Amino acid sequence: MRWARIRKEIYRSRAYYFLLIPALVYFVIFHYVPIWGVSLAFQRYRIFGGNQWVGFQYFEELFRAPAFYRALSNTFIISGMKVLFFFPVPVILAVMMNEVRSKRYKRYVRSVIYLPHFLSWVVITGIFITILSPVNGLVNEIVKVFGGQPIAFMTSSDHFRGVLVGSEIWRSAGWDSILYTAALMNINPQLYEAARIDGASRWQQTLRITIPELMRTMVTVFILNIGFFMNAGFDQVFNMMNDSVISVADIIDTYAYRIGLIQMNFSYATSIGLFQGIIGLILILVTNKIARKLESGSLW
Amino acid sequence: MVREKIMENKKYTLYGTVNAILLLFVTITTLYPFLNLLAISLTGIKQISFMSGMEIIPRDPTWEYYRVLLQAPFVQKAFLNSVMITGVGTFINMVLTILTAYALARGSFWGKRFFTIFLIIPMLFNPGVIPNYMLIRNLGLIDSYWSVILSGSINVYYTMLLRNVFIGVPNSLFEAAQIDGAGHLKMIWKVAIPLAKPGVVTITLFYAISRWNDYFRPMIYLTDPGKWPLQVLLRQFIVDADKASLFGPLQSVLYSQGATALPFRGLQSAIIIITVVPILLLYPFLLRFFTSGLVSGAEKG
Repeated sequence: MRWARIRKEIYRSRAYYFLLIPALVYFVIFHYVPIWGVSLAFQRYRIFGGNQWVGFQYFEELFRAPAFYRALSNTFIISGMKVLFFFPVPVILAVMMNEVRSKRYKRYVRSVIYLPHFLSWVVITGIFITILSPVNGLVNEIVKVFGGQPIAFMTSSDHFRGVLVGSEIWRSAGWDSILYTAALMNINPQLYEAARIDGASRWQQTLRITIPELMRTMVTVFILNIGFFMNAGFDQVFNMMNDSVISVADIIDTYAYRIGLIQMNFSYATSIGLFQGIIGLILILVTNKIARKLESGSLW
Repeated sequence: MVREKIMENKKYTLYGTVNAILLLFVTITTLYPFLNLLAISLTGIKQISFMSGMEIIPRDPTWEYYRVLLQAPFVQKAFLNSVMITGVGTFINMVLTILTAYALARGSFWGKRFFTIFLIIPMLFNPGVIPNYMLIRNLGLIDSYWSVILSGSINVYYTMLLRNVFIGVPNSLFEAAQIDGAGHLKMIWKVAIPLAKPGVVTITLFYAISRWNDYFRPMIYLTDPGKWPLQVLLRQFIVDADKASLFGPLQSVLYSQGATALPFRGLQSAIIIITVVPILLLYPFLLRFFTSGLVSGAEKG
């Protein structure tokens, strides 16, 4: 009885199912087959087929490998540095742009600071190698003006993580400010009007109205960022990294890439990916749940 | 509107001026590296090693690096590969995205909730690089353009944005088309796309740019350097440059064209500019359609 009704409903909306078939096929092949493919982490790979189940052997190997712990701690440190130093920048940019009154100037600033987001990390690596060059790069020229010694930023393990954070800010802070710009547009203008009548200066208005109104968006973004903590930015690190900084830069993704596609140890690399994927999944689920509670106000 | 008027009334303040100057500094920080790179790529052979990072005007200007690169067959090939992958890839992206977004926006059918979850699960769990690589291998797509084009065919986030834009299209227009006997495909083509044009254009540009920028999949899936897009070639110039391990064709061309006499710095900066130019050409359209296209859609979501 129930099935008959469902069948009738499916038949009635069959046109929609047809429209969804391409996406369905694509997702099954290109997303769900690889998800099943993580089972390779529990098998010994054989080139000519007939993989052998080995249980948790590769995970045991993984949890004994010093390089894995180095990659894990680098991932946490780089992610942590990014959260700490990157996070406030888009907020500040959005607030600053909100204070600009000339529409033309605002449009100019926006069109400039959104641009780097659309460049690949390969290009950005090229740009940063150029401006950080110890011979005649822009940054070291400025260092020299102030009487300092040129620094080989890209190959110095003391500075490389700073380069990662800096280039991330250069690339994405402008674009990420859009989130806050959208939140700012929703602030009730009467709040500012009331403050002005009370004699509040522009700075006081920013401090007392704009920032508190942005607080909820900031907390949500912050929490969602934590959800991506296992991703310290593969494309960035992969392109910028070099042999001299590998000890401070090698993250889980680059480690898995090297094991898998350079050393061709597929099973071991899959186990690294699976470990990362599971931790990432847990983080995303937890942080999304918290973020949703915040949005609905039930956590306040 | 009201707020803007109130703000216009106020005279220039110290606070506003300092703010504007700081933002000017931010934009200079963003633009200066480009200008410096552009200047280096146009500076003459004898002067180029003296070009400092502070300079944004080429010394002894020359097109030499661009001429050699653009005449080199492997650069031309890489450019065409990039155009082809971007064109075909973006087309497939848009077909899948529009069909899916339309069905999710308009249809109320059994299993819709399930399908949405089906789309979201891969966003939550990333199986890592090896299972994807194995899939391409098992499909026999290694060294085929299809490996790059087919993987990454649909972005769920863009699909949901477009769905929200489609939801904003008045129902009455679809009903009118339906009365005229239009099927779903016709309604997509005649009603949904034209009325959601800014959103459709923006998402097309997003896809096109990410296709253009894609370097990792072509790098690991395409073993024949002749199939590489510009980004992979660029990576040879930038990341592998210091290892002096530039691949064969590049080296032989540089020798044959007398380009070894050309400083590597000039070639390197010129190819970065060549790779960025198409994005700079698309960027104004993106800016124009972005606000009208997606901001309104996102708000409804």
